[in-house]
Amino acid sequence: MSYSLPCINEIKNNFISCNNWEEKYLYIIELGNQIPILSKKEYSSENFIPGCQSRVWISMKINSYNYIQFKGDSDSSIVKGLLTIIFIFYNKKTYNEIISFDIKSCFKKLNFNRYLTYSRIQGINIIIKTIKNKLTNLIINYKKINSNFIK
Amino acid sequence: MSFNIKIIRKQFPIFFNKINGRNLIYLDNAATVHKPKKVISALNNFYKNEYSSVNRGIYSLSINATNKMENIRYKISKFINAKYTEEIIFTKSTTESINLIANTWGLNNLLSYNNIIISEMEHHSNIIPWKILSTKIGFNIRIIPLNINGDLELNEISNLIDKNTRLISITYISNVLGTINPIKNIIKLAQKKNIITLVDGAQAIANKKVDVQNLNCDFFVFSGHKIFGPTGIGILYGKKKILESMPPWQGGGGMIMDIHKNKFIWEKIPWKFEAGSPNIAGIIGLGIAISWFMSFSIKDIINHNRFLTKYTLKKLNNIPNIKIFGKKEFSKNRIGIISFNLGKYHAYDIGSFLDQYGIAIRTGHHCSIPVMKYFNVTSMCRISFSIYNNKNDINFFIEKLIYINNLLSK
Repeated sequence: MSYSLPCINEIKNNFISCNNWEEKYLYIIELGNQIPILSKKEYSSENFIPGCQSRVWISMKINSYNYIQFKGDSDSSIVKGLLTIIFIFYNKKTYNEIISFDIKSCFKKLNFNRYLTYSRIQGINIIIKTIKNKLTNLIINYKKINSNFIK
Repeated sequence: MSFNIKIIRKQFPIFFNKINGRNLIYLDNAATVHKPKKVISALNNFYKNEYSSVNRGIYSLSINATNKMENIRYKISKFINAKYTEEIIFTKSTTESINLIANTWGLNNLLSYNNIIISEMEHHSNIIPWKILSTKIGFNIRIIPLNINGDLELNEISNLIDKNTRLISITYISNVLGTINPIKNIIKLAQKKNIITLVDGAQAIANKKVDVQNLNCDFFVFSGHKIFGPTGIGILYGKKKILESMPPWQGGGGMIMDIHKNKFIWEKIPWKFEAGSPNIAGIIGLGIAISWFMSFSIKDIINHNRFLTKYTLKKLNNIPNIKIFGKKEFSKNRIGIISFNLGKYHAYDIGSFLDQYGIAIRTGHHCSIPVMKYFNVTSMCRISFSIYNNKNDINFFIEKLIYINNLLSK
């Protein structure tokens, strides 16, 4: 999933090189086009994230390296792009690393919060909170099934 | 006052502000309208020089404030041509007015075998209070269906009415589609069958000449902030006999006359329904707003709105991947509220881009999910006009919409 996604430094540099907010928005949308896609089955109520103005789905799985694999979609191109950025931040991280990772300040460092409305920022916060809650449930279930789970 | 948009616009201080370094192009008037200097000054003056409690004091400040409030009640009764001043109740909003009616008239008059009729184009404020009440009492809610032109299927009304129908509660003008409903005819039909009628006048109050006696509705409700008044103030008009028959809703100060042998003797209308401290500043602001609004000819206001609507629809229809919901062409049966989507792009994305240019539109479900479901979408862009909008607003909006369309298609 993660091979084609840019790394954090790449997106940081690309943002800086955007000349204006229009280019930043278009870059976010472009990133959204690279999001790992959901299968038809994965557009389920379990994967649906309530509370956003657009529809958002996120699926999470634990891979053989104990990294969390993310897939997602939204009917809003900008939100899809923001989801992709979240997935990039969480890329190749384990459950504990994700829970302790301060993603909000990473978003701040990208310095495009000023281009996002308050409700959009709230939307991102809801998504991040929901990811963490769902991840915790995922880990509990995974532990029950797999006694070889290494934190 | 003469109808000169330039002069009118100068009376609105909000337009002196910059949004994201740009002039504000405000196209969300169906949500709320901005306030003229006169209303803002009146609020400021009231708090500075005239503020007091009302209905209770014997000192000059209080008597003056009370008189002012009651004079405004009288003014509003004349504005909508109510027969009696006491038929005007001050509430918080359209939403609170409908909740009041549901929880007093509704609770007292609806039984489990009854049914009420609303329409498929209602705002949630005219759906949810009835849903909540229906779960308590058990009555049925019947829906007048919408059609693809954004009109109600009026032929269906007679099929929905039976001997157990007690209420028709309907919007005068749709907050999503701009459709003007022929409510006078609907009320006539209801009258013949002794069915009570409630009209949601939130969008109509600043876009039509409202005459409640001519309409002959039993209830008419609207919000002050939609007619250039402050937020937190609404009006419930009800025919005197009906209001007198209704029990109070909220209990508190100012709504009982006496307690006699453990029996409460309610105040007369309107105060029976105005428990607690009223939003005096809101009432004062609304009074000034209505005076200001009445200084214009309603014909000029309507013609201006029609002109902008015609102009905008023509330009929108030239955009190849535009999808306009409801009436795509100009008609006198609609006002300047236009909902649309642009190709496959989500309304939120379009709205976000437009915001960066200082253009304020509304996106989302517009508190009218049944309308979204009818048109099979989860959200729409919506633009809506008021007295201070001009051709330049529309030109700039269209220019940026086309630009965004091209940007996103690359």
